Amino acid sequence: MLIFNIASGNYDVRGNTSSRGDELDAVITALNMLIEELKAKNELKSGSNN
Amino acid sequence: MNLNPAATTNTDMTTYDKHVTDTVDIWLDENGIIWMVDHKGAEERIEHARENVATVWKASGGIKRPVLIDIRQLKSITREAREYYAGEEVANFGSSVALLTSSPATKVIGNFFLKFNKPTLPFRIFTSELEAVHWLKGFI
Repeated sequence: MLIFNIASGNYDVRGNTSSRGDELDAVITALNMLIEELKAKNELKSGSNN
Repeated sequence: MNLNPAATTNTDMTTYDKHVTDTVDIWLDENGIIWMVDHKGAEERIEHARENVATVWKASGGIKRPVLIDIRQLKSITREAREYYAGEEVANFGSSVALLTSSPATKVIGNFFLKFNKPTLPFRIFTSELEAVHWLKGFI
């Protein structure tokens, strides 16, 4: 499940959205974009620690 | 009211030079506004963003113009593509951007772009074509 993957630090997962674009798709879309931001910030942090 | 010239009957026989990329249709309207309309279910990645911006510049005739981006049919956009659209290179190609949204999912994308990517051009999110065009006309 998407939330559990994020909580585990797995930022390579993405949720699937439908073509409806409804509230559920909005939540999944926001989560997907947040995962991308977290992944990028995590990679930046890892790079600066090396 | 639908101001999208590609979606309405063209009574004055004006022709719009429409450019079609993998993810969007782009044209210059009679007001001097560039329209960039996402295809249904478009999933934009960085290579699409680069192609689309280059095509906007081509359609604008090398003049900085206001741009209406209609993301109502967009499905997703990657972080790299969002960063590119918000970057300095794009700021050199346009004078302002109105983002047209409709569904909750596209509103999330628009607001996320505004808050996280912080576009440098004057930028507003609309759900009305009429209001978006009215605002953009202030930059012509």
